[in-house]
Amino acid sequence: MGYGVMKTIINCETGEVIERELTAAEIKQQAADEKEYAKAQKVEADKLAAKQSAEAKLAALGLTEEEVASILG
Amino acid sequence: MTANAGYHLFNTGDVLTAAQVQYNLQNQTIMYFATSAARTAALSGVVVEGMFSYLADTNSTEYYDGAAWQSIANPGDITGITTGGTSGLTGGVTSGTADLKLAVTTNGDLLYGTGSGTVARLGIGSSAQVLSVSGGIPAWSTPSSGGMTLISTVVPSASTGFSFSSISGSYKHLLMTWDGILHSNNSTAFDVRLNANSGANYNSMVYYGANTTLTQANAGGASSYNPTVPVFGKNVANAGFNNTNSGYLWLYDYANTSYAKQCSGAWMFYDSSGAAHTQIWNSQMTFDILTAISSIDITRLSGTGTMTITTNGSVKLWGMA
Repeated sequence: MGYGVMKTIINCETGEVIERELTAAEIKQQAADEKEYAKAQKVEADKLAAKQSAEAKLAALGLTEEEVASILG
Repeated sequence: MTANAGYHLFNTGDVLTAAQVQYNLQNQTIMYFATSAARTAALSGVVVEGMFSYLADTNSTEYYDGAAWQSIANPGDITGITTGGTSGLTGGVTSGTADLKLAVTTNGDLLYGTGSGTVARLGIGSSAQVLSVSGGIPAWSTPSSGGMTLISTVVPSASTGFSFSSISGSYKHLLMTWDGILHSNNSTAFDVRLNANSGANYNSMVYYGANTTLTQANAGGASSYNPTVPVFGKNVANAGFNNTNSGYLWLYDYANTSYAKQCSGAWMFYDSSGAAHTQIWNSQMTFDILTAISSIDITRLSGTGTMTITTNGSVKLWGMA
């Protein structure tokens, strides 16, 4: 059964290089990876957005850029 | 036979006696003979120690030592040149001509001292061997492989992922280095897995600098090295110099089966879709598996893009002794 996505296996013992299609389990894993990656990116983006929001609020209070950076890093 | 009379100083007007002629003059001059046989005949009964003679047939000068005629053709006092078994020389003689040679037998032989005035031969080693010391004497030995051994090199081209498999457990640590990694679009990410393990076994602590901001991005119980900040980058689609993904990753004591594996590494890339494009990551990671690591998998976490290498780039796996 072909899935169209290839994977290269380099045998470090023999030097043999095999190229094969992903297995069904690997295709399934890819779908899970996509989800985990998206989730991780969203967490990171949310964190960044929260930081930017905090920076904006602190700036609105009259803090300089340097002062905000000294608080938030 | 009367002995020679020795040195006598004659004065003017002296009359020589027969004895003086015989014992002061004749016996102390070099007599001339055609052959030794002629000499024997002439000197029969009168030969005495100290006589000298010249033999015309052999062109030799000889003296009589009281018992026999001795040649003075080779008057030097060297009576022989001997070469002992451990002298490092051959060709010694006690007569004739010495033809001294070093005691080597084969192309590449070396001689080394074994004590006072003694040497031994050391035959040439095999190709790539080096001269070292073993048991206090020189010896050829095969050098150890040194600190680092290049296990494998990969140059990905339109790759959707690859694995270093069947990694020998004979090294102490593994080091993976890479440079020039480029993604085919800005919505793809590649990360690292060990032993193709996709369980929640990866716990990493990552610090990254993006523009002027330093951020911490930890990932506990992840299914790959760090899905937040994938080792082989995310959205690395800008081929400009300094924008591709490069870095290194250490896997310490990877072959042990007693405790979890520790890794550390750093990598950089230009995130062509993010707000903070240039990102430099520094990480520590534990892989909570006791099994020895025998494969490293570069796997696509997200997107449909492929991984390619720019000029001179590669992914290399090294073993550290």
